[in-house]
Amino acid sequence: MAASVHCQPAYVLHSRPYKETSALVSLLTLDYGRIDGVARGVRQKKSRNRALLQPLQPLQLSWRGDASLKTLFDIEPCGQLPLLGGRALSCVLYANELLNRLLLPQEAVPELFREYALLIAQLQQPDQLEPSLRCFEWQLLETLGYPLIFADHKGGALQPDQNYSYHWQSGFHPVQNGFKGDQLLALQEQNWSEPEVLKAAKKLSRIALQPLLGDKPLLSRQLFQAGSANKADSVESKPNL
Amino acid sequence: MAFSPLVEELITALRCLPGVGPKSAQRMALHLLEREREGGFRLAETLERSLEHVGQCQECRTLTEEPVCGLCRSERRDASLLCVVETPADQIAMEQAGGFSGRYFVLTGHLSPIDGIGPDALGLDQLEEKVRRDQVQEVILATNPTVEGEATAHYISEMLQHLPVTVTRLAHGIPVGGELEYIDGGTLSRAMAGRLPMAK
Repeated sequence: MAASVHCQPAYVLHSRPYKETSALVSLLTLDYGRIDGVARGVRQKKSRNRALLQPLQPLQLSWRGDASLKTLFDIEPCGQLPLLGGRALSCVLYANELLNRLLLPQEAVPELFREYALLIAQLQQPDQLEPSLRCFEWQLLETLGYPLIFADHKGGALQPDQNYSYHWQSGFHPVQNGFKGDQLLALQEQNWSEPEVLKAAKKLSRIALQPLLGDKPLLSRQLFQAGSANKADSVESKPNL
Repeated sequence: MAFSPLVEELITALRCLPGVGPKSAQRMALHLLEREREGGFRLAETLERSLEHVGQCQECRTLTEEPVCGLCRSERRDASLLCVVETPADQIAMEQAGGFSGRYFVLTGHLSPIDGIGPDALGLDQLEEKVRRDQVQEVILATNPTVEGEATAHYISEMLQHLPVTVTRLAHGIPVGGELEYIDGGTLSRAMAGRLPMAK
């Protein structure tokens, strides 16, 4: 008899069509981390689960099977599908791509699951987009065993008037030009009010995630560039008009 | 006992079709060889011709054997209206529904970073170029109401925001003849959020 798991809180990271009416679904679950499963008949015209099995929807579901591909059943909604605007959707695609790339299947990551749920809840407030994404990224780094520790490489406290560089294994090193000490201290206290601090946080996340992601770039980063590329265009083209 | 090599090869080849497993492939191959030789020849010949000649329309990227498809060439279609859909099948569905007299642009997919589909794969620069060149007045984003479809629609609307064009999105709602009781919560809450004043 194959082992089964009942009523697990979960989020869909990705689903793709499988055979005529089924779907292959990649999920983030509370107690079992990332799992892959087959949802049979979910793409039938009358299937109620069709609308449920998509990213963002908080779910509770069960599965059976010992192999790496589970059979999903009893899929139930566990809260409302948040109505998200465009930029927030790009953030979700980005978070899902990160999880899909970096998480090993079937390793419990309960803190990360909670941070992900929080991220989705907070994405409805546009000014929270960046801080909540950063918190999520840092929780992900911690889960993967590379936590950001706000101390210099010898374990001493960061000095506000010193500049630092960051290395993913050894941490912060004092340098001439780099992250400003006072900004890093603001990040340590999760004080996101300064735009410069947000910028530094983004750069820090990128440097910390880069070695884990390897050479293949994240495609979802391109999604954030549509608006900004156009803005650059219009600034440049103005003198010609 | 096994089938002879050529029959076996035919069965394997048929399995490239979606939803066709070993049993169905065997049934199809035996049917063609035993009872439907004429149909089989027709199939082989059409398949070869289609694969050789059918490509993408230079204007809208739908599947066609001509450089520009019939719909894009038609004088009767309104060039100032452009409907953006994900697949040729979506385009056919919109056409069968009727009520739309503009032209189309087929993305052949949606943005899906996990599947490795980024903006470049969807011909979005071609779309921007077309909107600019044809002086399109309204772009209707008819991508699917999924997270990826919404993200694609959002990306396109940001891309077009500096052009003098109105960008609209298909409405979300309750299916005609549907019963509220049996409709999922997501659809209902969107239908509620997008409610319209009652026509007098």
